[in-house]
Amino acid sequence: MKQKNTVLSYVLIIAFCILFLFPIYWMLSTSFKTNDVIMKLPPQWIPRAPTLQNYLNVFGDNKFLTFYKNSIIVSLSTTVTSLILAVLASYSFSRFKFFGSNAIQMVFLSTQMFPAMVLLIAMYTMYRQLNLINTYTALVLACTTKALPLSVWVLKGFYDGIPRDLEEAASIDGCGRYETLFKVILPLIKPGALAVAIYAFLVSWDDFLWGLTLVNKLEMRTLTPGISLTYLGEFSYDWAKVMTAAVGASVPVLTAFIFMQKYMISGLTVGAVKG
Amino acid sequence: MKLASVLNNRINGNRYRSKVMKDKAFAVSLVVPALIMLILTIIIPVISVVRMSFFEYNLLHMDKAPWNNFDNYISVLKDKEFYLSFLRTITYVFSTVGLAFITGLIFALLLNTEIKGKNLFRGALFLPWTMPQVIIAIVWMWMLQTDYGIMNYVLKSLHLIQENINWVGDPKTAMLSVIIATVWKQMSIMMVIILAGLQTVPAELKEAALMDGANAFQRFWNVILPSIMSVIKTVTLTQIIINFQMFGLFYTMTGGGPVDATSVLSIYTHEAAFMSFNMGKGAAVGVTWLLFLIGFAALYNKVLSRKEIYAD
Repeated sequence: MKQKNTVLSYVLIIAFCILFLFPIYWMLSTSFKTNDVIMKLPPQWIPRAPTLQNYLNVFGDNKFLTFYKNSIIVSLSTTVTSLILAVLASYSFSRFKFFGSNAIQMVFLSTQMFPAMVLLIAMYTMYRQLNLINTYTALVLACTTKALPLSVWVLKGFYDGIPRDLEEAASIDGCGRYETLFKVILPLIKPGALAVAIYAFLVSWDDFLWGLTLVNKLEMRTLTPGISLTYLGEFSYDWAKVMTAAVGASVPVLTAFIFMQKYMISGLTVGAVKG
Repeated sequence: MKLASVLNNRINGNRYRSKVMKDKAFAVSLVVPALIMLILTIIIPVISVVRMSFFEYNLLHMDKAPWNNFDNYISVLKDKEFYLSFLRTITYVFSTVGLAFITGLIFALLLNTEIKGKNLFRGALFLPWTMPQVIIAIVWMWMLQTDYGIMNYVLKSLHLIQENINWVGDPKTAMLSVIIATVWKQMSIMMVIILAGLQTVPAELKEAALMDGANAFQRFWNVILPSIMSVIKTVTLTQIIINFQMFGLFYTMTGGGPVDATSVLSIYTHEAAFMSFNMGKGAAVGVTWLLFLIGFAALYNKVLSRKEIYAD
């Protein structure tokens, strides 16, 4: 009976996984077909004559490369900025109590509730006055804000798990506070820092609203608004090309996740389960 | 002697006090950078959006912005389209979060058994969550394409439909299409977090229920569910708040159409502020929206806390 149950769960899970991941497979598979093949029914489940022509077209397109470059710059800068801010702030929240520290923590967490669209209306006006429209700075600031609250919360969870005796021992050994934080404590929360870094990268890579509204020059466009505005308009029926661009935009995040999934998932769940 | 000890005390006291002061200074200095960021990018914008909502702000001539006697709010509250977009948003939010929760819970329960390769399955099922919204939108637009989309082909082969469905282009199915794409992305995060919650349910609790002769459903309803209630509360509330502001999937897949069938709050606000250049009206919608969310979150927390026990 028990064995039968186990077999049944395997069958169920594997069937669900295949069904569930089919859209990713279909995106990949379409990107290796020509448009002639795509527009024929019944569809070729496995491309019979796979071609790299779509990839040559998409990656040979300067526009696409510009979008790609901009997304990488914005996402990496966001990752570094939010990591630094979160590592410092969450350490303070985990270890010290000072006037208003609880209130500030609450504010940090509740900012997730403010709809980006509402902030955008004010931010657009501000950025226009500060001449920040069409700059990386504008996008990095906006994306960092989005990544910061959860990053602080997750890292605080990791710091909470480290015994305070360590700091006392380090202080007796004559370590300064900053030295203690960077040389003794930080190496211990590396898994948390990695989780937060990947999360911040995913958040900014995913960004669409800020990239769409805070940028209106082609040479400053990031990947997701770029694909949506140029590829869907111009080549509305060139699905092979669109899917190839989609693969190109997914590859960095999918590979980052596949190699770091252990950290990512443990980081995300630490925050939620504790809270 | 006395003097010496008083002096000594005072010195120690000063030293202690100065250590505490230094600790505080250190603690504050760590928070300041993040706090400045928060003030610049969230607090000031929120205050300024509230202010903007009382003035006539036009994107084309922002230099003069006269007070307009609650005109923004009046025009929002008089607009039938505002209530419709609110209703659409609520339909969208509750169907996506509900469906993602149910599927996520089922997958989590399946994975919370003694099967091997659990991490592999969990990782594979988590992949959609990492993909950008816009990419998910176009992948589903292709899957749901009218003439060559795989969905129509499969449904037709199974004789479930006679005619191809124009998924994204028909007002009757447009919302459903966006819901499908959303649930596909968000099931993963629900599953991972519920699974983590399930793993914290103490084994003794489950065994005790088994000894008392509770059946599988009773064990789930009376033991497992209450123990993971706080996790469920957090994850569903987060997803509700996230989906309330969903923009990317709508903008890419339907643009709010056809004939406004998928014009949700974010699309409505975007149109008011950036297409009709009426930033004041956009701000008024934003403030109404924000107030609703704050009230809702408070209420939600209160209601769900009733079925909650703390496992530790």
